[in-house]
Amino acid sequence: MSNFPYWLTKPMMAGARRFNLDAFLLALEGWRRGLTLRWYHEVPPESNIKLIGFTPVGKIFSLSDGNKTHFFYRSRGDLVSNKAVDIAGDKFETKKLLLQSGVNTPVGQNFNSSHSIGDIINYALSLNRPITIKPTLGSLGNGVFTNVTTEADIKYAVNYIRNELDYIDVLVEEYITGDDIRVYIVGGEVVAATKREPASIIGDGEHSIEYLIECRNKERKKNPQLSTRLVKITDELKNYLNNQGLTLQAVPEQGSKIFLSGKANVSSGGDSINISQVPEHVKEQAIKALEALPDIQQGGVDLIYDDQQASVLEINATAGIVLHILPAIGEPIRVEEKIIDYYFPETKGFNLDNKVYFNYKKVNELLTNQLVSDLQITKPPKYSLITRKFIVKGKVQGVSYRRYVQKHAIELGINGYVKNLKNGNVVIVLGAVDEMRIKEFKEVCKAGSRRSVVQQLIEKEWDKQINIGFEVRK
Amino acid sequence: MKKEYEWLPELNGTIPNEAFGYAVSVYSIAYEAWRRGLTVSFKNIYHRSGKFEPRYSISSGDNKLVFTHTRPNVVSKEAIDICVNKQKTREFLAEKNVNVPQGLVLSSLNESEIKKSINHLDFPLVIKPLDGKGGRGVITGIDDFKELFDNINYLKNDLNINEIIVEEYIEGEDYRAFVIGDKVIGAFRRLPPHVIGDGKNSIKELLKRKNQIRVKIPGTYNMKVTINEEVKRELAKQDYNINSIPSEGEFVRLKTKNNVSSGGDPIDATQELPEDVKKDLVQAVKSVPGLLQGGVDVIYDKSTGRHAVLEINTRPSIRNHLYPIKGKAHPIPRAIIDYYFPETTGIDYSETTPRYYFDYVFVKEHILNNRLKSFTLPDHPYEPNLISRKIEFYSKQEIDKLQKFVRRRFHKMLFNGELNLVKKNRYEITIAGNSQDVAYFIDQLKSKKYISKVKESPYTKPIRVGFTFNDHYIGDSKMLKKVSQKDKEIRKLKKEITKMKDSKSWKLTAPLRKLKNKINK
Repeated sequence: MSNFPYWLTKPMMAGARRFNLDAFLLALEGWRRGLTLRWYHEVPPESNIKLIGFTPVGKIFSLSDGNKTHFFYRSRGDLVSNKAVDIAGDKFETKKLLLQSGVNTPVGQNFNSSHSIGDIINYALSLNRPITIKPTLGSLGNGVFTNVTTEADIKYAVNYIRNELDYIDVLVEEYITGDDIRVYIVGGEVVAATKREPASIIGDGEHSIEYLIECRNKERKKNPQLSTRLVKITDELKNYLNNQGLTLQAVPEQGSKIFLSGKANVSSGGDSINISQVPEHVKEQAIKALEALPDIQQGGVDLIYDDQQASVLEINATAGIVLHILPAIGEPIRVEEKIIDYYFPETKGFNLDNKVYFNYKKVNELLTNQLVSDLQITKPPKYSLITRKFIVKGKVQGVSYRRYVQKHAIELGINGYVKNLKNGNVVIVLGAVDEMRIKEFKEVCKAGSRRSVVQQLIEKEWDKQINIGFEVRK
Repeated sequence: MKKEYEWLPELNGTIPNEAFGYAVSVYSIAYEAWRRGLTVSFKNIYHRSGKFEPRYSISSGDNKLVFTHTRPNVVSKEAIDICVNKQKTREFLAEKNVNVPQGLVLSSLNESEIKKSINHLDFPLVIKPLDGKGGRGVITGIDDFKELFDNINYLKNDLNINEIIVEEYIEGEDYRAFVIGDKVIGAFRRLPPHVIGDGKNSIKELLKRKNQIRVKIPGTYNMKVTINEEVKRELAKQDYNINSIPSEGEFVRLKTKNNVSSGGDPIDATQELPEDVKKDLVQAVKSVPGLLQGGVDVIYDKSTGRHAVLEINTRPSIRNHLYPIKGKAHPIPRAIIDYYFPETTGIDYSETTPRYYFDYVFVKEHILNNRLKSFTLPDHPYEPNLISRKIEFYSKQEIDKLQKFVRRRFHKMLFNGELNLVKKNRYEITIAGNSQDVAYFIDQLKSKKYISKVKESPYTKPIRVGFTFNDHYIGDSKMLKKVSQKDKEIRKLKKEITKMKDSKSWKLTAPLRKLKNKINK
């Protein structure tokens, strides 16, 4: 797979990682449709959108069409109720509601501070084993133990969750076998489904598992979605290998697939595989699951499924969308389009201009360093950009030529930059909405500022993307 | 040299370099609003006499004003139209008995028609364009008809001006006063570009020194006097050249034009204008419906006591009021905010907190480049027990990591200030925050293994809001980059070695290598 789909490039995604990337891709989509985009340092008083995680900087923004404004946190818009966010954050609460609505979900029980480890073990042993043990309020696959059978393993898992991770509430449920899938729903429709597989490596009969993990991580670093989600060599991983009778130094046979974890979360290094044909019974359960929560118009549902059955594990009200947009395997599914379609249906099918972008890194810097408390990005042009490069020769440096060019560019609604070259020439990179304007701008550039003497202007093709605004580059 | 001026204490050290020059007017008003706890946003740009400038808004709850330069949007469009048209201005002012020069717009540029229409005016006369800006096309002291026609032709043919005003010439000095509501807040007049002799140095040297001072003053930054033909001519008139040494205290004029941007010096003249003139200035602004405020140009002759109002600027620059080279600065920003946000009169957060200021560099980087449509400044910090400190320390920690650590603390504990790398491994933090939090932060620094020689001292200079990292030791950080590049290469090589060692061929050839080692021994 190419690492960047056609509407994205590496420079524009600089500084957008992990959850910020969800926010950036959604904001970019809304902005490119002509909506007013504003970023905030913290939740503004006019919104009560609920945050999760550490810092909202670079993850909270609003889109507005002039009549209505919606606030977003990461991928979640303000049409999702805060109540739904609370419920989805509590796996046991979710399970209760799912059962009430007749959704398939594994049998399980929550244990809080009043329960001893003995209580948990007794219950766990009463279930059909294997079982899954996880923190009730956890996220991102942290502390999720799957395929647990023995009493010793149960003990280890509970102690790990309570003592190492500091979670008190523990959820014990039956372990369901099948494929792990994340389904994204917008407005009651399944818009994307991505299968998730625990991290694995394929042997080549030559190299050690450790070496193969390193290679896999290197490969993932190239994908902006996966680059920070690498397989780490931990005790958990070593144990998982030990259970298979393997060590890091073992050299697996050519073609043999070795799983490194029981968890399919992409956050813990798993693989994401987009699938285009979602089985009907999976869709049905996923939609029903989301309907079981109050006012949640968009979100991700985790399921385990096989040919017959689909069982809902949990609901994610602030589900990552990048998983579907930039999968490890398969075609990208543009969930961000569907979300904007839902919130701003009148912008649906708007002819997007993929050539213009804004510098997210700079935006984030201004907000993180708290130099500003909110900011609004200049709107992109309404039509696709025609891009060019001019090389200007003559007496064009040290004569206010660049300021002159900038002034006219901004007046003509032209985006791009102007820069002095070491050889004494000036380069102008520009994007304009029509040839007429380019022609007009070209005349302006040829005429030059009062003290300049333009001898020659060479027009060249330019096919790279254009940062919004017109900059005098140093 | 004795200090002959007194500037506003609140602007001392709070105007960042990026806001020097024309931007001083904008910055000082925004700053005044901000330090009173009002919300300040910078907005999309507009074009003002060859330069881009941001609009900015000041708001308190529902009361929101948008300013272009020094003019808020509550000044009516009608008032602006009247002030742009100098003849209309004259008519509105005369209507309310404000002293104005007699004059008219020429309805025809035919010589005999002109003669007929101005027969009630006496020479000397002034001609100027009806809606001109700055001093362009203004010609004063015209003594006869020949001179008059020549100059009218010059305006018409060379400057392409067809709507021309003729008015009587009033003897006296030019003053500019800032009026808002019922008050003249300040007035200045301009001295032409000049140097004052000390009996030792040449004009060239005196001018060099003068320019060195000018670039340090926010109001005259970037407005140097350069020695050109005009200066040489002016000196020659006085029997001087650039190498002459004027005697001590001697005033040597360098140019005839006295506008500040070409090197003139503003001096405070608020006390020079008598009460009746000030009354007339207030009346002038009142005469134009919906005007509220303005920069009023007036000619006043001390010897005769005569005065006449020439025109009103609806968005005058106020930098000359703030940075006179002689006399007192007048608090125009204070007067403006008092007038539009009277409920904030007397409030000044910076009296009870350390002094803070906001950055302006991103106005240049983002707003003037049209990248951002608007942004809002963080609120002026205001809570009990705020203090500011300077903390120096030594650390060999990687710069990026150290920066991240400090930035996180700043964020968490709502600190403002800067982390500066001053020398190799030497850092300085200037910080403002809650006194207990600052003490806690200092303890944290002291407890870090990789930080040593922590030294704390009082700090009284203004603190920039937000967190900024400044590398004053650029050479070193470039070196570090090179080093980390080398590190990367080493790591890469190491990896290749493990890869090689992992490979079958390496393992297969192991006995051979052993053999080779043995042979070598």
